[in-house]
Amino acid sequence: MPQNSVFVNAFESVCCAGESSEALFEAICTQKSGIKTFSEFIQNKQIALGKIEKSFSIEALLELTCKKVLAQSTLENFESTLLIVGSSVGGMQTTEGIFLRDHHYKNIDPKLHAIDAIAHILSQHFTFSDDISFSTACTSSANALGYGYEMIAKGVYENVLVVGFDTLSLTTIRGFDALGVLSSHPCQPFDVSRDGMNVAEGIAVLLLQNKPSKGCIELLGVGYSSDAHHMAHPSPDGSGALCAMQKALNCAHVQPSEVGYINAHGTGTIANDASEASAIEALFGSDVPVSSTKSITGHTLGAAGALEAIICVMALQKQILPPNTNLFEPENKTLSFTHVAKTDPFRYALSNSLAFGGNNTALLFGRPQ
Amino acid sequence: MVQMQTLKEILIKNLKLEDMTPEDIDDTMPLFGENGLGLDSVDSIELVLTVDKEFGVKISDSKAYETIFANVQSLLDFINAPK
Amino acid sequence: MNVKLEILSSAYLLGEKSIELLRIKELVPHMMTRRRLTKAAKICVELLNSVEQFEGGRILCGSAFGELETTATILNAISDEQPLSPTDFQNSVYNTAVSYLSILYHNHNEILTLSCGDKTALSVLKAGALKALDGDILLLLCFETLNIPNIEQVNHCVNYLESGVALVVKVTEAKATLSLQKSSLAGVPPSISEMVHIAQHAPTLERAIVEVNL
Repeated sequence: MPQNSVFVNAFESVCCAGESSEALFEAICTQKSGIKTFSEFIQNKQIALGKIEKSFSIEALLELTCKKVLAQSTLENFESTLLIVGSSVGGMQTTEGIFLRDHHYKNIDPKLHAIDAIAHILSQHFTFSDDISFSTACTSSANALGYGYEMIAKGVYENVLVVGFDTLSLTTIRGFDALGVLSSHPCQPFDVSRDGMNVAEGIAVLLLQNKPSKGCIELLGVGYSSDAHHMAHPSPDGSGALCAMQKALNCAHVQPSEVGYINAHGTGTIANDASEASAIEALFGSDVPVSSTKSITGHTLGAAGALEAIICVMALQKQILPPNTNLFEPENKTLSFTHVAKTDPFRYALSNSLAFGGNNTALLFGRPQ
Repeated sequence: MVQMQTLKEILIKNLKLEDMTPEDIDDTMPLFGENGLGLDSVDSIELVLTVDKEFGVKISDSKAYETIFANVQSLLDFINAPK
Repeated sequence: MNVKLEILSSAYLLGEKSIELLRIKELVPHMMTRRRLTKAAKICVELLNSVEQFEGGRILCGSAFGELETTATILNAISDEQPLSPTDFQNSVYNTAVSYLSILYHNHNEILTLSCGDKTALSVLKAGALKALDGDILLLLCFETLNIPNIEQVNHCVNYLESGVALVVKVTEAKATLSLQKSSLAGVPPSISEMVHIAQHAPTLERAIVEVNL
């Protein structure tokens, strides 16, 4: 089976920390978090969320972000492009608005409710060759990227547009609150004092192609695994995450010691960060700089995989290691955490996404030879 | 005063303990862990919600879960304690 | 690119209001785990135990509407300003059902969930065909569990409110013997229809092979 190379040739994102990917990377490097506190989402409670500052319509944000990526590329249109969406809530924000107003379902359009709503909306503005949507909670768009990688590597498509997208919704905000994992301030991934995550919203769009453009970064591999442990808690030893990371490295025959940066899932919850730190330590020891960027962006749920892929791509392009923020005393004493943005030559970056149900996905990126 | 029978029936209903009857739950049987009923951390949150909804009693300190939820007797004592 | 998939085993379940799962206590004897399973998860357990030749490999699952019951419960709780159940929330993600399969059967493999509206079954077949090129045997699942109070407010075409279908597949070079088309059974959810058609006809053929255009 021939194995084509896969290149990230264009990308764009919008989240609470930046209206563009450049703005986002700047915010990460200057440690300016986009997370703010709100009291209108849960009665009598202040929580910290990553809300996109400018109010937006889902349709306009999707169309504009994809248009920007198209403009960056050499494509005239998306007619020979496969659309792959990764989303955890799909059109839930729209559904909530209608249901909480009407208290019945009659005005809910099923096509605008479920995960497929994203592809459905985009198909009104662009013609794609085909579309497919993944929904695996917090690994949704990481899995979308993995599928795009495979479609190009196996020679099925030359162009794939991956869209990771999740809006804030009362369901996810109150749901994570019900689990007791929300923080009332910007999260502190990997810190001994961490007390929870920040739900956030975002869109991240990447164009993958089988031929490189100038300055592009290569998507070298993907690794998948399942914890088989618990719906809402990762296996404490991080064995599932370790397996996914190892498989991603195996795809590209890269050794752990060659990896120059790990963008961790690092949500700021007690359970995730302990488990993930164990996994990273077991595979990489103290050799590889690690950071979580969720203290800047919040946890964009289904969009996280794609958003953090963009962060890894930019880190590799600029040869800058993104720092942790709000990390004062790491709980894990072995891992090598970055505390300030640092220019450093490195070839490979690994991005982790870990989800409900024990779904784990790791993506490996690298500077082309 | 809440009766033991009532509490057990509510636990069975709210935690969906299928096919269990109040007689199957010993008063001093540990609620958590494999050597007892086998509830987990998500159940502990459900228990807090149940105790509030059914009996109007709030448990705000998660550090107290271990004592209050040790077994059905300790839970009943907590619910019936004068506030 | 066209890929041919051989259907090694198949099963499907349809219920107008609900699917009766008579074996669930036997299949999941541990009550403390069984009590947490959503209906969709139970349907997937039943389907997994109704097919052969799948020894615990990769799974691809699809559902247009996912865990509609827990989603509706959460929406109503928000609307009524009641506290949310954490169990309902963890059981509301689209990959809930298949994650319980992973937990119950200690399956540590790649397990993916798709949700593509009416194209869900076709997409699961395409994704399955792409993955099957690696040479392993995969389990493809689709389900819809639409049996919630007031569903008639939005449902105008589905007669089987609960449904599920499972196909055990592997890649083959042999010629296709079955076409990809919607099931002729009226009222099957459009999102799972192509896979139901395959499951209905596969057992009648010596070798059931479909050609999937990726």
